[in-house]
Amino acid sequence: MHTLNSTSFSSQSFEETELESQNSELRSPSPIASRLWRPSAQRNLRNQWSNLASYKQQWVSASSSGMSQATSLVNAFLSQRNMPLMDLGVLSDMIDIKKKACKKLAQQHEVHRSKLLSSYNDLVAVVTHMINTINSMRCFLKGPTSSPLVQFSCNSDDKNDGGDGGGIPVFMSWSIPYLEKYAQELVEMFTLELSVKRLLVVNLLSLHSDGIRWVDELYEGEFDHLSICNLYSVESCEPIPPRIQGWKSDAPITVPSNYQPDHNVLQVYLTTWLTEVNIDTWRLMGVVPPSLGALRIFDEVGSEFTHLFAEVLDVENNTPLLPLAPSLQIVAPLPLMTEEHNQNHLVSVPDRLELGDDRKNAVKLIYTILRVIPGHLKTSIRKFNRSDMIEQITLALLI
Amino acid sequence: MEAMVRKYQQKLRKVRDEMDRWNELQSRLLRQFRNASLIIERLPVLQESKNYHRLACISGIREDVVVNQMESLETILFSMKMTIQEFHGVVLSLEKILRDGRQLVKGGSMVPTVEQMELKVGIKPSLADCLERLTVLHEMHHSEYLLKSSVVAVVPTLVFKPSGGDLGALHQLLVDQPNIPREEVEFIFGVIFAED
Repeated sequence: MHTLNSTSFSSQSFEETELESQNSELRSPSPIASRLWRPSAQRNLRNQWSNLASYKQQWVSASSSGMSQATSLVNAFLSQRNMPLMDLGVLSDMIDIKKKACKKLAQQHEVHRSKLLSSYNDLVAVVTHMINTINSMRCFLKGPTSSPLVQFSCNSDDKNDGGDGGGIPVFMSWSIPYLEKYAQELVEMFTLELSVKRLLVVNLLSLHSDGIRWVDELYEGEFDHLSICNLYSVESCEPIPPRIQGWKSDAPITVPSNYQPDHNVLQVYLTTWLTEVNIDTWRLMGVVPPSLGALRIFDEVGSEFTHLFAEVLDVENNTPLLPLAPSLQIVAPLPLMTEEHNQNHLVSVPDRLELGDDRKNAVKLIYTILRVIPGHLKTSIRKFNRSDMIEQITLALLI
Repeated sequence: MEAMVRKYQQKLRKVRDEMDRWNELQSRLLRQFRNASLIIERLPVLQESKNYHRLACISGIREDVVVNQMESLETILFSMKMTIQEFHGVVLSLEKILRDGRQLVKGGSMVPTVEQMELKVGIKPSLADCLERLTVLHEMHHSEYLLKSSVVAVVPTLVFKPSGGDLGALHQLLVDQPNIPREEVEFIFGVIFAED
C-alpha cells in the first residue's frame, strides 16, 4: 500500500476530466506512473509468491497426513476382512473374540475415514487459496489517478486497467503476465493432483460401504470449492474426471458396484497417493540433476526477485516479507532487507575497558580479547539461542 | 612403554569414534535398503494394469506411477552408493590409525624389543595386544565394507527379477554385519580399556 505524497488533494471534477487520459497513461505508463506502480507491484508479487510457498508446504503436510490415514484405513479394512480366516491361536477360545475384534476394527475404520476426509478437505482448501493467490498478483490503480494520493490495490476498479503496468518489467525483465504464467504452472500441478486424490479418496471411502460415488459431494460445500479450482463441470453437474498432465482427459468414471479390491489394488492406490504423479518434484522442490536440465520454479522466480534487490530472498520461507493490507497501499521506499530476513545481527560485547583506557595499548587489548570478551560472547550466544529467533547462531564474527 | 601404551589407547579411542560414525552410517544404509526393497517389491504390482482397477480410467496413470517409482529408486540407489563411499571413508581412517600405530613401534626413535612388546604392566594391555587389536578392528571393518559394497552392487540387478527372499536375505546380511562380531569388538575394547 502505497502512497505518494502530494501537496494537496484535488477536486472530484478534476479527477473525472482527467480519468480517461490517466487510464491510457497506465496502459502505456509514463515513467512517473511506472515509478509509482512498480514498488507497489513488486511488494505485492513478493507477498503473493511467499504465500504460494507457504501453501505448498501446507499441501505437503496435508498430503502426508492423508497418506498415513489412508494407510491406516487400508490396514483396518484388510484386517477386518481377513479376520474370519485369521488363526488367533490360544485366543480363539475366548468367546466372541473375532466379533469384538471386528467391531473394534470397524470403529477404527470410521475414525480413519473421517480423518482422511478431513485431510482431503485441507488439500482442497490449499488449492483454493493458491488460485485466489494467482488472482491477486496484479496491481491495480485504486481510485482516480488524478488524485495526488495514488493508491493501488489487488482489485480492479477500472476495466481498462490491466493491473500489469502496461506490461513493463516488474523486477528485472519479467512482466506480471510472465510471472503469472509461472504461478499458473505451479498451481495447475496441484489442481490436477487434487483431482486424482479425490478419486482415491472416493475409492478408499467406499471400502466397506457402497454409498459413495464420484458424483457425490464428499463434504458440504465441496462442489463450490471445486468450482473455484475449475474441477467442477456445471454442464454435467459433476466433478471433472481426473487426468495426468500431458495425457488426454478420459471418459467419465464408471464405478462397478460391490467392489472389493484386493491387496494389490490397495497397494497401487496408496502408491499413487504417495507418488503424486502430477507434481513435478524436480521442477518444484527437489534437487535438479543436470541431466534433466529442468529449473525449479521457486528458484527462477526467486532469482528474478533477487537481481533487483541484491538480497537473499527466500520465497520458500513461510513468512510474508511485507504485510500487505487488502485495499490500500502507501507508496514508500521498499526496504532493501527486512528485519525478518536479515540474518546478520550486530551485538555489542563489553570489553571492560574504561572510557579513559587506551584501546591501542596492546597488552590491555590482548587481555580483554583473551579473558573478558569470550565470557561475554558465550553469554550473548546462549541468550540469543534461547530467544525466539528462528535461526540459531551459525557464525559469529568479532569485529 | 607405559606412555606408548597410552598413545595406543588414544588411537583406539579414535577407532571407537570412527565406529560410532560407522553405526550411524549403518542405520542410514538399512533405512535406504528397506526403502529400495519396498519399491523393488511393489514394481511388479505397479506394472500390472489390472491392479489399477478404478484408477484405470486415468490415461497414463500406470506409466507415470511406475516411472515415478523408478526415479525414486534411482535416487535411493544413488544415496546408497554415497553411504558406501562414507563407509569407505571410515575404513580409510581406520587404516591411517593402524598405519600410525605401526609407525609408533617401528619408525620411532625407540624401537621396543620383543619382550617389551609383550610386557604387561598391571591390567594395562601390552603393546603387541594394542597393535593386534588395532589390526583386527581394521580388518573387520575393511571386510565388512567390501561385503556391503557387493550387496549394494547387487540391488539394481534385482529390479528386473525381484525376489522377496533374495531381498530379505540381503537385508539380513546387512543387519548382521558378519565381519564385525559384536562380542569380539566388546572383548577387544574390554582388554584395551580394562582400567576404565
